[in-house]
Amino acid sequence: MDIISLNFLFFVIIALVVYYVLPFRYQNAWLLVASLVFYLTWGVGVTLLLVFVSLVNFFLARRMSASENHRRHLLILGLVLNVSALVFFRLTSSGYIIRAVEYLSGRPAEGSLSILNALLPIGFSFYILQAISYLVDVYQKQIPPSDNLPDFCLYMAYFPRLLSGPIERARVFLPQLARPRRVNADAWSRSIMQILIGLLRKVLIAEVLKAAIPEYMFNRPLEYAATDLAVGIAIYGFWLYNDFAGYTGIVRGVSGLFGIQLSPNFQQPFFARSFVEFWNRWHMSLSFWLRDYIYFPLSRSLLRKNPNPKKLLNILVPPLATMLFSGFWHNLGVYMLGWGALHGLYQVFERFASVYRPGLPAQKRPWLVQVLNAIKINLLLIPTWILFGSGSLQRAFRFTSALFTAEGKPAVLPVQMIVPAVWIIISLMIDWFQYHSGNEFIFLKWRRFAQAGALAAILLALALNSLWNEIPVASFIYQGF
Amino acid sequence: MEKQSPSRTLVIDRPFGLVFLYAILLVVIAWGMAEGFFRLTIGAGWLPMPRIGSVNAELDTKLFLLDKYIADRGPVDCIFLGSSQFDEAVDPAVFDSVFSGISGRQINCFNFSLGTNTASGDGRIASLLAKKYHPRIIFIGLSARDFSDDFGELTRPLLEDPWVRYSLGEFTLSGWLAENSLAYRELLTIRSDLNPDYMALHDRLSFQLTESGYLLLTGTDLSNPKKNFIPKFMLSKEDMAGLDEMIALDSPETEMVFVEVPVHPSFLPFYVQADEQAYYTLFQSPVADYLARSGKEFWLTQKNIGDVIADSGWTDVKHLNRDGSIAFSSWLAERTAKAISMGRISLPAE
Repeated sequence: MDIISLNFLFFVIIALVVYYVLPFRYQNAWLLVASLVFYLTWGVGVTLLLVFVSLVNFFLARRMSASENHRRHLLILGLVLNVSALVFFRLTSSGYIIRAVEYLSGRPAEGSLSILNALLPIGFSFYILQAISYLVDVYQKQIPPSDNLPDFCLYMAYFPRLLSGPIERARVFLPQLARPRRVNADAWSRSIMQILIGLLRKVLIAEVLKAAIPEYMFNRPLEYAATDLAVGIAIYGFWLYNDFAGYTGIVRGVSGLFGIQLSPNFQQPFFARSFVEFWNRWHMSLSFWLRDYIYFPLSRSLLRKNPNPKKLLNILVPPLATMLFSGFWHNLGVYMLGWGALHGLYQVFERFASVYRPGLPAQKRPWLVQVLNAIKINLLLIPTWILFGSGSLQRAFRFTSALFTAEGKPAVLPVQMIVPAVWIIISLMIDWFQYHSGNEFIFLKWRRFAQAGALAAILLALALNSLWNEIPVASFIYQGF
Repeated sequence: MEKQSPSRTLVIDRPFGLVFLYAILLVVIAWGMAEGFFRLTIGAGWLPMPRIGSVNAELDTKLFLLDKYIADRGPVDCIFLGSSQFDEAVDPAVFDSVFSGISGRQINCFNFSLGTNTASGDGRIASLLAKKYHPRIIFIGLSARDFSDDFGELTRPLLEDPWVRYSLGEFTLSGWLAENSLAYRELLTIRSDLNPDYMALHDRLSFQLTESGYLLLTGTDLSNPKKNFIPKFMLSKEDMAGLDEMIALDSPETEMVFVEVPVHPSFLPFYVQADEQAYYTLFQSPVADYLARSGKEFWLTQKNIGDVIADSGWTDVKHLNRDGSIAFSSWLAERTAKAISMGRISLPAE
């Protein structure tokens, strides 16, 4: 069941009505049932896998907490199991294992071996990180192990965030399940606002931007003019942002209607003035997970060995290792490791600069310098978009070369750029209002007439889009991870 | 201070939904004002009638031209319908002139042929035109390519258009709005104006189409690629269903006439399965027999086309140019006048 579909709308309405009617003691169970029903629409196998992973991690954490002598071993076991599962599905979905088997055996893999070609179960990459963070938090005694199996399963399977995050922390999520929820008029207003802006981003902005990107620009770049490719890659980042941020807005809004707050995932990333800041604003739930479970532990471990922060290893290893893991988490292809390495290198350079030539914090510099830094970051992001979107290192190099050499017939006409440009401006304006006020819900503080005007425009745009596209079902780019 | 029951999750503690109501009101008021503005300005002739904004630029252009034709001359008596071959073969102005010269009767005709159309498309569009404009005769131009699966893909988007579906009796909100709201049509027009492919075709057609819908082409290039044009020919189910639909339209109010659309004789050996005989045995005869079983004649043109149209009358091996269309339109008008005088087709009294 796709998030952007009438089926999902009816599903949420039914889930919500029953939820509001039920007393608190049955609400979590109802949400769990609803979440499993939701996931069953994607397949019985993936649902059984989710239940299995949830059970394993639940009992491991309880065992870990009960056994002081074996806590560390059980943590290692849990991490090995979870990471191995992630590696297994990454290897199978990228085709490495089946290609290796076929190479070694000299014939196509058939029958029972076809499991080696298994696709990554949808949402797996996200909930497996939740499981890992839960085990580590229990080990470090930041949270007690959950003694409520249904609540823990709900933490793993909660349907609004199941497919593509945000990646939630047990220490923030489980307490919300433990207490009665209240959803008042303000909560409804905030949730509806999030859903509407999410729909605006995903259904309108992202779809228009996607249509504006030349369809085969990564596969056959030489068929286009260099200008087409430049326009395409310039739009790519905005498309990805609106696609994913739109999805996040919708699921956070839906969750808010149930009185459960999900973590923000984006905070106006195109205004970032450094790559460290960019990763504090882009896919935040993943970034913070990487920071807390890879970057900080690695940094602390290295500093314990050598407390000098200027030591090369202390500067080089944490950001590179963290971003390489991020690349691997997205996809096991060499190109994604290249993507991670590039982002890691950017952060390494920034660390060098901050350690050897410390200056004013970014937000205290003159505004012109801040603007120029933001522009610089966005330009430096372009090679990373090329790697991210190309699907292979070879295609990425071919695309990059074509940016300077392609002489195909221009396919993108200036008139075709009017509507995408307008939507990019609208996207940046939404970001600007939120960034300037420091308040995601700034629009709810506008005068009522202004709110009504903005809402009228969004509703009209959504209605027209629906009429003109006959309600397409759209899949998010991040559902592939 | 909100009143709470300990067991209640949903607590609406203040009036809720006012902004939403204001927004709906704003949309209604703005839409109403826009509708009023466009009805006033278009009604007064200050702004042109907006297009339907369908998926097909030629359909939109022809609808616009047909409505204008009717506004200028009154109801349309006959419509020509087929693919681009018929589009360029029949000039209604020539047909009208020759027909009235022979029969002494005035007739208003319009060519509503659409490039890439197939028989399945013809069936649906013929039904739409019959329902909307009530012509007394619909001439359907049929060629072998109109029945081949190889070309059906191009017609499908047209038949899935919401306005086309609405006009054929299936309710679609977009179709209803396109038919009844000028403000919505203006938005559709802007939307299609921003589509360069649509506008390229629209601009070209605006230049090439006459006011009676005829697509005027000039020049001659009879170079023949000598390639098998339809390697595996079969009368497709979809297109035969289209033919059934057209036959079913035949009534005392609307006469359906089926005309074979010719190709240049040098192309015939390469048209159907690279075999000239296959054209007759796989296309012409089966279609003629099928029509005959429903009491309809298939007006054949291919065998003696060289006598009607000189080489200089072809713009390419499948399409006629201006000179060729004059000859063909005159021939068709003569044939029609003769058929009416012999009672083989009936033209309802004026």
